[in-house]
Order: sequence, then C-alpha cells, then structure tokens
Amino acid sequence: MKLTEKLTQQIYLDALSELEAVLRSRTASREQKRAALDAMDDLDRRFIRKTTDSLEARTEQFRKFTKAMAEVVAAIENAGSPFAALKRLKKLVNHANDILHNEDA
Amino acid sequence: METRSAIGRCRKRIGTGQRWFAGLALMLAALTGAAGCTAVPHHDLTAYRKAFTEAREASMHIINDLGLAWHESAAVLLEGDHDDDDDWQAFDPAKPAQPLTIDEQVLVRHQLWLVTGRYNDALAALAEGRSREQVEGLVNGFLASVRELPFRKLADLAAGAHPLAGVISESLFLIEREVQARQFHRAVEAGGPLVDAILLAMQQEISDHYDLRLVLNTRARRELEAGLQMDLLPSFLDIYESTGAHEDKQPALDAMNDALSETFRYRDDQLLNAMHDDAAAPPSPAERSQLMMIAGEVKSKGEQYAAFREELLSYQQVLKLYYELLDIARYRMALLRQVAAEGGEVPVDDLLLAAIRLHWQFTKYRNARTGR
Repeated sequence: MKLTEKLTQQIYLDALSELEAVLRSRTASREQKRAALDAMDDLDRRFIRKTTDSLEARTEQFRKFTKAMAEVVAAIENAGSPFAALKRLKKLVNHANDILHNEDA
Repeated sequence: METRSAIGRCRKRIGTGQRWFAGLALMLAALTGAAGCTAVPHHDLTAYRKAFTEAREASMHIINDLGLAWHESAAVLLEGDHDDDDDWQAFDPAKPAQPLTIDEQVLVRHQLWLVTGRYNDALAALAEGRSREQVEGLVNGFLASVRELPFRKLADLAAGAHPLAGVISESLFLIEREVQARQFHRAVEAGGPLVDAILLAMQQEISDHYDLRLVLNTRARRELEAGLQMDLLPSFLDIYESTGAHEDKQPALDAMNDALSETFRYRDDQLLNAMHDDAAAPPSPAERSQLMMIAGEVKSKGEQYAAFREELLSYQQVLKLYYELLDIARYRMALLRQVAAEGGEVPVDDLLLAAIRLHWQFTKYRNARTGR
C-alpha cells in the first residue's frame, strides 16, 4: 500500500487514539499516563515536521514555476517585442537587479 | 424583464438548495452592473472578472491562515527537546542553502495568486475582443506580476520528478513558439496550462493546510485533557474515596460523568464507577461542595474541548469550499481560453457563489476561533 497523505494522517490519528485510550484508562498509573502524553507530544512533532517538509517541497515546485515564467518573459523580450511597455519593464528589472547585486555584495 | 428572465434561467440551472445564494449573487450582480446570472456575452466579461476577484480575495484568507498555522507549528517544534536527530536530517542537495522563511513561503503563494489574476485579466481581454493596445497593457501587467516574484530566491534545482516540470517545459516551448511567430493571442493561450498547474498544486496542498491545523487543534484539546487526567480527576477521586463512596456523593459523580461523556466524549467504560459503600460516612458539606466545584470545572474545560472540536470541523468546511473554488476557477479559465479562441459565453454564477460561500464559512470559522 502506498503511503499517501491521507494514510499518513490516518496512521497519526490511529496512534493518537491508542495513546488517548491509555490516558483515559481507569487502571493506568500516573506514570503511564505521563508517558502516553509524552509519546503524543513526540508524534505531534514528527507529524508537523512531515507536513512542513511537504509544504516546503511544494514551495520548491512553485519556485521552479516562477523560474520557468522568468524564462517565458525573457523569451518574449528576446523575440524583439514591439511593445514599448516591455522595454520599459526590462529597464526596470535591470535596475532592480543592479540594486539586488549591490545588496548581495 | 430582462432580469426576470435571467433569474428564470438561473433557477433552471441550479438546485433549490442553492437558490438563496443564487439570489444573493444576483443582487450583487445587479448592484455591480453585471449583465446576468448564468452567462455573459462575448463582449462583456465584467461579471466574470468581478467573480474572479472575489475568488482571489476569499483565497487570501486561506493562505493567511496557513501562514499563522505554519508559525504556530514552528513554535511547537522549537518547544520540543533538541536531540541529535534534528541535526542529522536527510541531506538533500537539491535544497537551497538558505531556505525561505515561513513568511516568504506564504508570500510566494500570494504572489502566485497575483500572477494567476493578471494572467486571467489578459485572457479575459482577449476573450472580450479588446483592442491590441488594451491587451498589450494587460499582458504586460501579467508579465510585471511574474517579474515581482522572488527571483532572487530562486535556486537551480536538480531535475526531479516534480509534477509541474512536464507542464512547464511543454508550455514554455509553446509560448516561445507563439511569441516568435508574433502570435501573442496564442502565447497567452499557451500559458494557460502553467496557471492551471499552479491552481492544481494549490489544491493538492490543501491536505497539508488541514494537517497543520489538525495537530494544533489536537494539542489544544489534549492540554485540556491532560489537566483533567493529571489534576482534576485525581483530586475528585481523592475526595470521593477518602470517606468512602456514600450515596450522597452520587449527584457530584453524575455531574462529573455527564461532563466527561457530553463534552469530552468519554465512552461508558471510561466513566467513573459508582460503587456505593453502605458503611461509608456521608460527605461533609465542604466535601460535597468541593466535589461539585471540580465537576463544574471539568464541565467548563469540556465545553472548551467541544469548542475546539467544532472549530476543526468548521475548518474542514472552509477547506472543502476552497477546494471547490479552485476547481471552478480552473474550469472557468479553461473555458475562457476556449472563448478567447472561438467566442461564446462564460458562466460566472458558480464562481461567484463559491467565493461567497468561502467568505461566509471562513467568517464563521474565524469567529469560532476568536470567540473561544
């Protein structure tokens, strides 16, 4: 079975449910309940890390998209567009790049 | 007369359950000078553009909320014990040396909506058959929005199995070809799959939005439950059992079990047992009062617990509507590309209704959060 987002979420919820049963148990000791709480805390952190990793990977995809769009813009410019606004735009971008380079230096 | 016939057409197309929203949308359309409820003529896409703007604004709330949840989650990770595992996570050479901050990652999503909106403006202008100058202005607006994206943060990523990669390279080829052929109309059309891929990716990450809120919500509920299990219940049982289980303590026990089952949703086997001891002494007024006070506190905590649960359910509804809205936006833009090429009509009522529903549900969700 493939480990999908949905399945991962279900595993997390199932694990929490088992630990919650310990927490709510009439027979579990205080120490056992404390251990269950700690385990849930650990599970939370692992699940958060998995989720933020996934969001960051998505951002990478978006960034790749933005790079492609930059190439699209460059292609339009290189095609010698007669549009005056494009030329002005290019000038602005060059100016912005200069500022950024100076900032990086 | 024309408005009435428009309403009639609208009612035929949508279900009775949606009529209230349809009525609201029609009123909005009338107030904003839109042409009708279900379709707009080729030469006027004002209503469509307004609907798209509404959709974009509604989506801003979702992205901002993601940013908040992301920050809260980062704080949870920082609270945890620092162990060696944190220092030795899997090395990924494709990752940039300096990752984006959370705010920058959220901003990328906002900017992509901006790009999508500008692209949509250019597309709508083509579909309306506007003048070359007007189209030029809007195409440039789109390009300018692309330029505003955080190129400075771009890293050369290793070629991988990114879902967007295929779409990007194919679209890029088509766009370049059309631009070189001076077919700007077709170039915009060819850029469609790129924007579509972005909306699809946003749709796919909705499960991550939910997962972050799920953990945060679960933790908030657990904090209440930890207080219950580690403090309130032991205190209650200490008093209850100290002088024996006299039947005069039954009202307090009932109050406690009611709070546990109704708000914390405890199962029967998790409730406190009543084992009356005939030899036990009756509780003093102070003991009775203490027991009732603790039961009352458990009820109060339980109500907070239930409110958190409701909040999560409300967020589920928000995300369902957001998913639906992205679906409709993708479909409408695909249709608009077709209209730009071949003419025809673009229905707008479903996009506007989806935006209104999302706005409304998000307001309910936000009120549930601030009201607790």
